[in-house]
Amino acid sequence: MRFIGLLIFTLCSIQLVGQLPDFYSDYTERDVKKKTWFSEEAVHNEIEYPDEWNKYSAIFLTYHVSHEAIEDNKIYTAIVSSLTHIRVKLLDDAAVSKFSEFYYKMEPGIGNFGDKYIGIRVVKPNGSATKVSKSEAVEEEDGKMKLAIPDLEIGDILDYYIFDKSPSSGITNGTYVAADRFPVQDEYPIKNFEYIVTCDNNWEVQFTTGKNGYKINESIVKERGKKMLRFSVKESDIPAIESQIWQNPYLSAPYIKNYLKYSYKNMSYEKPSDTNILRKTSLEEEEIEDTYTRFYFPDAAARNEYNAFKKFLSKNNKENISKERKLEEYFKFIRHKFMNMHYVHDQFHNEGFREEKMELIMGHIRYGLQAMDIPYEILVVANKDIGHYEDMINVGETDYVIKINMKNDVYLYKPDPFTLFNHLPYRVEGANAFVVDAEGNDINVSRFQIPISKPENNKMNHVSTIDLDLDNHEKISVNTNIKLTGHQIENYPERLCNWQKMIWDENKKYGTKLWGHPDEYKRGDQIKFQQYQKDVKKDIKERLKKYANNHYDLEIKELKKASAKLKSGSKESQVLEIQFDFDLENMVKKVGPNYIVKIGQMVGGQVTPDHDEKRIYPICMDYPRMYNYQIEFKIPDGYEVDGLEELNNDIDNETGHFKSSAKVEENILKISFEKMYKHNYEPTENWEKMKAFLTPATKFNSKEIMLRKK
Amino acid sequence: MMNKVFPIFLLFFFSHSSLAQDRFSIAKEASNLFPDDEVAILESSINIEFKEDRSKGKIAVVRYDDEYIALQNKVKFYYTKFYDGESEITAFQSGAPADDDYYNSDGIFHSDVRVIYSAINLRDFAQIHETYSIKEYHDLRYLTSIYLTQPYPCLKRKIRIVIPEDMKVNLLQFNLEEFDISSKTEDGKKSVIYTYSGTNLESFTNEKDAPGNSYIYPHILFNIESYSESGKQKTLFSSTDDLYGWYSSLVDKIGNNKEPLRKQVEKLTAEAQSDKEKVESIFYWVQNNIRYIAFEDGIAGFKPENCQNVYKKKYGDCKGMANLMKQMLIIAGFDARLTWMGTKSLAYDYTTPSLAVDNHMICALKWEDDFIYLDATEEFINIDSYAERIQGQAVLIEDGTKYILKTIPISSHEKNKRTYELNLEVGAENKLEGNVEVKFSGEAKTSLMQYVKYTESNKKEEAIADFLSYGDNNIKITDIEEAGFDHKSTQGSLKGSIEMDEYVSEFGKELYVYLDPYKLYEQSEFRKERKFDYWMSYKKFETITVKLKIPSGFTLSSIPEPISFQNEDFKFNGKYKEDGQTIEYNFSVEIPDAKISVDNINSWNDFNSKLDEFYEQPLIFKQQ
Repeated sequence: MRFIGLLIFTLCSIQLVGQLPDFYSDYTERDVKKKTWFSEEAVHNEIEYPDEWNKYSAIFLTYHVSHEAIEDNKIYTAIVSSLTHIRVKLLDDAAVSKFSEFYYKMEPGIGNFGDKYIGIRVVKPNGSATKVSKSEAVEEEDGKMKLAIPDLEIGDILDYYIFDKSPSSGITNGTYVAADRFPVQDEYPIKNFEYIVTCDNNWEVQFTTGKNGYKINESIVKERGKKMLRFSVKESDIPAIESQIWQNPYLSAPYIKNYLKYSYKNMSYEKPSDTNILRKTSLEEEEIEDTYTRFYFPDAAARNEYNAFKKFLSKNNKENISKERKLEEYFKFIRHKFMNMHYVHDQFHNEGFREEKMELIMGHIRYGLQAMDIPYEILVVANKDIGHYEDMINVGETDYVIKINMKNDVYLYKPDPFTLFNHLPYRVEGANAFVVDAEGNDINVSRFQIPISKPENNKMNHVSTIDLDLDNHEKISVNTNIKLTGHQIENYPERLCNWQKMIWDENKKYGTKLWGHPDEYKRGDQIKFQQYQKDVKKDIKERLKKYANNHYDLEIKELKKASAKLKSGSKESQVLEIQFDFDLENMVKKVGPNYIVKIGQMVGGQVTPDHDEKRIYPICMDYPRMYNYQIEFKIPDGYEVDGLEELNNDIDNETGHFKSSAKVEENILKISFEKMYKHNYEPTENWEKMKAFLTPATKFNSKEIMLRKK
Repeated sequence: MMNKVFPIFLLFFFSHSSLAQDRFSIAKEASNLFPDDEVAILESSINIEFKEDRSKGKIAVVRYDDEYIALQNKVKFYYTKFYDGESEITAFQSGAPADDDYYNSDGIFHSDVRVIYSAINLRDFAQIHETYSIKEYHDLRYLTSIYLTQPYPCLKRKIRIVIPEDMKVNLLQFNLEEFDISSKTEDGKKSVIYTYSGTNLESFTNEKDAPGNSYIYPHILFNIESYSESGKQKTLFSSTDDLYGWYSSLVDKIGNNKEPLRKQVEKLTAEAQSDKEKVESIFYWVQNNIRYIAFEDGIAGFKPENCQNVYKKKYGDCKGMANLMKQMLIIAGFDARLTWMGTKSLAYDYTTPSLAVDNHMICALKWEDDFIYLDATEEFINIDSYAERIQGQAVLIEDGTKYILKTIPISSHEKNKRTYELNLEVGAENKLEGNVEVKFSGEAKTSLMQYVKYTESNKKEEAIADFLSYGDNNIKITDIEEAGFDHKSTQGSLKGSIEMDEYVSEFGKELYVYLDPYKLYEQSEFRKERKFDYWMSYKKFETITVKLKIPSGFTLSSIPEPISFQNEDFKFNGKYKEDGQTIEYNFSVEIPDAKISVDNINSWNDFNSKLDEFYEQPLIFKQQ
């Protein structure tokens, strides 16, 4: 009996430590276990980690993700398999609580049929491991399963694998089968990180770890007589990510970005040589050219609208206006035609504006530029939210701006109904864009550094006058006028402005239908439109109140008057003007015969850097900007002001400045407060310089003045 | 012919337009009545009947008919019906595609409750939409209550309950008198029909920290004593004996095996010097080592899981943890019992035999002539303390074939005392510098310990500093020390060095100093429109003492006036005193019943504005 037991044990052991199949596609669950739980590779079984990591809640001992893509030439079916193996050491109750619930979904990831293996076990500090039965998993919504992990304690390792094998004849040319994008650093440090992509020559691999990333190892591995290409990133001792303001891991830390595409040209029976396998860590000019050349082909469908525009110019005696003005008129005409004239209708029906409409507008603009014989270039860029422009590896990640070469360069980007003419989104500022340019039939691709706006271009100008009524519970009445320019305007017009009027004014200009206008609409529908208009006005009022609350970082109970108006003009004179009047209580306190006024709060909340924060990451902000506050406070008769010296600041360095001053002129206390962020990016070492002006600006918020009885 | 058609057409036209006019005016009226709601129910009918089904036996059939009206344009709302293992939705007509999914509720890991729901879009103001659905209860135990208040406000709702003559059902009315609700009873065909009609019923409140629904909303509780099935009379819950009998039958089926626990119990009690120490050791071990995970799954919602499984898995719901406690204590030689109860969120007690009365299970330990109640789901609670949510609640304690009814003792708010003590002096750059110590006991201690326990290790120091600085960025806390962060200590403490910036303003030759960094309940006004009492998680008793050394070269020139207020819900006191060298600030707040009743909301608000003024008053020192 003992012998049989030993034999069974030996057979099992042989099977467990035996050779693994060459391909994931041949893996059984037993093989997955061999590859993960019973692997002898350090990446899958190491338990040591640096002592100083004991301060963390948990540690990833293993963070392994691998994809394998092959074509099964017997059945001409693509087979994609993925393995994730995570081992997390739990060091405190917070981690035990967090990892005590395990969520998974059993359906195969890609393809019509396949296998999915999930194994979970708890490894105790003494090395004993207990497999977690999935029989007690309970179903949540959408078929998601939830499992309470039993006997999980501090010091344990939660060790799980998820293996997904998805053969599919549905994978056709151009199908992306594995597209990953994630920052490598996590809230816990990682002892062993491994990311592997293995494929045969039927796949196009696009792979980067970013400008600040890790080395990608490339190798050719031969498995079952078939040459396979392998890309891998293998790192150890990766520190945990810390949460810090103005941090973008895609700009400052390593990340994984991978696209694995089934490539049509390799689907023929004549297999190309290994050298034809595409492998990329950056975007190539050829692809840019292939994608964007069509932007120089005139779209005949745009002719009708261009002719309509010419009629509009003629009808309004504008045929002889300058090319620049004509271009602006055309931009607005086309946007109106495809977007704005429908805007009230679309909002009412919850349809919003769509990407296709934006593209349609851009297509018509290109046609117009050609028809007006205005030269232009296409700047191909990347949105910096998803990484540095150098790290673009897939043409699908690109976006574009039309650069129109005039006396002063004009930039046009896919507009929304409120985008001002000549607007360059801040997300592409500073990018070293590809320039796609046409000279006759020749298409050239070169590079161009997109300029970064200046702080003065993106300004918030705040002027307020404050009246104090000592006979009325020290009530303060505030009249505020805020002017936003440049990027500071973005996102606000739709939320704060009376866009119905704006659109109807546009409709009148172009003679189009005043959809939803009370004067135009049929009686039977009036009630619902009136209600709708009331709802819109109510929403805008609420948003203005919210804006005022956020602006001052105070609880403003009621706005007596509030409005927001977008004023178009040249790029420099485009302004969003916001006005509101309100009363505040509890800003003034009576102390004996005198009053203390919390004057610092009249500049609103400021960014507060932590006391002892050690900056780890570069400072990635949206755009350079400045904030200017001019406050006039009427000093009540019979009082003089004390405490002004605390309001004076003058800090200026290469990252920004904070200047404030206070003076009394004809019984009016005039306070000036200006904060400037000079760049949209600062290296890590400049954090102390930033703190040098941010900290006193924050402290200004707590400053008080005294009105002393004369 | 023409003459006949024309008037008919006119009649149709006018009746249609007058209907349209009606619904617009109704919607406007409803908007005025329910200004915060986007949709209301014009008319709602809930009809409950009992019938005998060949395969299912006696069942209850509830039919819901509702007519919704949009109070705004572009309204989206969800029509939902819930069911579980003991019930079924047999008809669901929402007029829109429906989904059927598990329902997740906060704090419950898994329940068998499912929801059928439809998203309904009403495009136009005053648009009307009709729905109906039928729900069957296959086990009459689970038909516990029906509310006249529902998730959407309603202009007119009628609940009709038909009780056949072969059933004995008590319909217990709760909170009806506070609403515009009438009721009538009439004889039906071999039945009695009870009808409850309500008008202008608001939806469930979204007021935070309001009492549980059963305290504030009109509803009917079903107490089904007996019914006839296949000609035989069956008893359900005619008395608490029946309720206990059913619970007891479930307990008999648990299948406990204490053996796997024995070694652990021996280990825990080996060094105990007294019985109390043995109990403490077991109680705290369960709190520390068994994770609370709530399951509500059919019969498993009432039957505890066996002790060996909970012990092995290291998690369980309240029943599983209570049963494990019981078995471990029995091994240690104690008389421990399972105990059923409803927490403070339920308005009922055991005078009503119904499943609605219970929502929790604990373990009662026979101790001398009384019981000690052990609720292991309350992490860090001391053996001598009970959580607010179970204090004063009726409990049903197992006692063989009988049961014992008791009430859990109520503790004084003094048990939850939290004291803040600061010693300060004016330092360089007019910063207030010194040390701070916060001591806490009772639920003030357990809540802080839970917060600290579940904060990640690397963020713990920052979290404690945040706690000691009350999140004020102008306050810097260093050299943190903690003590008494264990079960046995009745008091815990946190202390550290404190540096308060921007708490001193200098005007000419005067210093204006603000001493209180915590300003408890500052700007804590309730909405004037609040409708329901405000319930706190536990009774409050907090004190602050700040001692400030008078800065050298300065004399005190002004000291703020004291403040005090007291009523049956809350008591505040704040004052400053001087002894020539030091200024001492004393502040205390007591909320002895953990609630502010709605009748006292105005006086709370009035006092709160005075409190805000008090906090704004500085000490003034003049240069000598």
